Amino acid sequence: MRVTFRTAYGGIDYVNTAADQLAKARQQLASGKRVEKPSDDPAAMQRAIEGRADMRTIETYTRTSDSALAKITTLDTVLSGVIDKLQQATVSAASVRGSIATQQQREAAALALEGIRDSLVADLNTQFRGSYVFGGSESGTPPYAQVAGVWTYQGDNAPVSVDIGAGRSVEIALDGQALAQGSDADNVLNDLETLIVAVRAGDNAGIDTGMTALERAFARATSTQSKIGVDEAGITDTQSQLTSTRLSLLARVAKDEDADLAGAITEMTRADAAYRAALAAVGNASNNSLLDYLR
Amino acid sequence: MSGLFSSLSMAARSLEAQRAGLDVAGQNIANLNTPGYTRRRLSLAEVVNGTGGVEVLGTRAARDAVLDTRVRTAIPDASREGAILGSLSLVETTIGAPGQGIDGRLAAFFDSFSALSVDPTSSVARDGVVLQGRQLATAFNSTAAQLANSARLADGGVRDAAAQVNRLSHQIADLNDAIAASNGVDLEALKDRQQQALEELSGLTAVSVLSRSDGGVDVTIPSGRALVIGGSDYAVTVANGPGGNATLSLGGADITSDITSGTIGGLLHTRDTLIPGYQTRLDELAYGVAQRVNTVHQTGFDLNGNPGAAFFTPPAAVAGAAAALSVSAPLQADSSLLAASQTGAPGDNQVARALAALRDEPVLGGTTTFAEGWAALAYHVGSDADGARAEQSSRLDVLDQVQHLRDQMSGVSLDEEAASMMKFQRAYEANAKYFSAVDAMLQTLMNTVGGV
Repeated sequence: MRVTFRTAYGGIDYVNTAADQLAKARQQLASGKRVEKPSDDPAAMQRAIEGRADMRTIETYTRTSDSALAKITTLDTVLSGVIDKLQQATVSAASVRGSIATQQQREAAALALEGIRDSLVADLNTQFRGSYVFGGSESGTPPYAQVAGVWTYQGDNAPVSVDIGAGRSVEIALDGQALAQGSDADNVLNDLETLIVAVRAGDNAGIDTGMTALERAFARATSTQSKIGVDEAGITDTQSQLTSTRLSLLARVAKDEDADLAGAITEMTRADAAYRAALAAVGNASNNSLLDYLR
Repeated sequence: MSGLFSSLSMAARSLEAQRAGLDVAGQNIANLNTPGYTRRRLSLAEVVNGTGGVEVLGTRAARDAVLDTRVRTAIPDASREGAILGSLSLVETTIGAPGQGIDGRLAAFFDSFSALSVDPTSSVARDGVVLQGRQLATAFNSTAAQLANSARLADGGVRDAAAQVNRLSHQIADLNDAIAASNGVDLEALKDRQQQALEELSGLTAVSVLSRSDGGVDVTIPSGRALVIGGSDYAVTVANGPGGNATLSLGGADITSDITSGTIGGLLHTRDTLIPGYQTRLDELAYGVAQRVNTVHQTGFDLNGNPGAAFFTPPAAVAGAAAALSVSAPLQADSSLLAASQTGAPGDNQVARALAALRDEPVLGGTTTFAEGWAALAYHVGSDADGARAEQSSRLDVLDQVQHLRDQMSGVSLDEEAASMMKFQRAYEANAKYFSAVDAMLQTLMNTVGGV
């Protein structure tokens, strides 16, 4: 084979190839990314995009469940208050039942019941960041207000839910009517009004009716609270699930996207050595010429 | 036996021949770095008519027509892939890294609906949705614009390349004339330039080359239309076709679809097949987003209790949907028109939830989510570019090997030329010595005769 001038210097092509590989290895090491543009690894790019989309979904669920948890905690606190107040009302009403209570005692009990009624109204009209939470989806209207002297529900019967996971949702605004009235003929506030009248009048039968109504309201409030409690626990549960799913997704995406650091360093060392070798080969090839030996 | 005088003239001819050898070595060394140069060899022969000595038959180029043809046919494939790769590396930058292209904007858009579902009356959440919708639309617009720009650049490349084809055709026709007129004198230099021009032309498009008896060449494109016949060249004309894209014609016939290799072939493939494919995918994605979001949005009621209008300005057709995508003007001006509620109650969030849930639904063709649609686009761009790179590298390897083979035959070796310089120099010295010996003999003879 004839080795020509161009062959001797043709090694410069190999120098270019080696330099290109070295630059690529350096870039990977510096950025820590294996896939920076689609052609680096098209299939990994596709998987990374899909994995990242899944991760974003999980992050959204996590954020939503954080907000939902804040609302639900409020609901829980309010419901505890409601339960306490209903108990107090029962106690007050029971204290004046029978024939021995004096008029003053009845009046005092009636006043206590009025106080309880007012704070129950306040509880049912609780707002969270400007939205009423016991009015179903009618978040802009106080759920209970007196219309022509009668306590009337102004919300709707559509509780508001948010998604905290795939196919998992929790209620963040409750149907106030289901809580305050349920299947009763009237709501607990009007029942209280009737009870107050009965207490003042010493109407024992009326007091009994009122107390039964309070008991049913108590039962509704406790069952609602336990349901909320289940949601609360569910959120914590879901969040830990989301965290672990997110971690495994992160690992999957990282596998596709990120440079294997040890591998990248090895690759760079290899590319560096190859580059030096190519340079040395070209340098030496052009060092030698017959011209050096001719006199 | 010849006389001393004929010995003298033989020595003179021989000196001339050795000097010619030195000249050829000098010529070869001078053209060490000349592209397309073929090494010259001196043809010497013994004189046969009885006077003896050496005569110069001429210089010949160490040319191998088969290898020349193989180099020429390996070039178009390599340059085609190079052109595709060049165009696609531009397209790749519009895709961006995972999470940083349209996929990131889509995720942020659907995130904003999730935030809205938690707080459907909040104006911050509503403004957030409108803002993310606008950013998503902008991302689609700019990606569509960048794709269109890449296609335009490829088109510009086609126009430039057509002009180069014409320049080279003209040059080859001129060389044909010169070769025909040269009557064999200094033909080799012209043929070097001819081969050089043919190789350059092959980089632009594959051509068929037919040798003429006078040493010139006729050049046609693969479909048979002639670029050069003898001293005449036929220009490729560029006209504006559909969509402002250049169409090429030769001799009155459209040859755009005939050119499939070389830089022009690669650019045409990128312009007419690859980029329109990406544009269609992007448009389908944008159209799908607009359609699905609008459909769900229109089932709801806005904060004022009115039925929801279109979220995005409804795209007229799939084609061009990405470039035209925009959040409807009334919604941009007033985020309370955003329909989050299904019942009309302000606190209802079912439509917002349904919109947020679109992110995971197989919405495109009933099988693909939006994120998967984008991932598929990224995959296609990536695999096309990666495929072109792999193809280019193997084509270049082939070209490299053929060029190497040809170089073994036609290239100049510095060592060889140094040796041949030495050889002719020594031969010249020896001949000069012979000349002076004969001269001395003549001198002796003259002196003897003069002494009589």
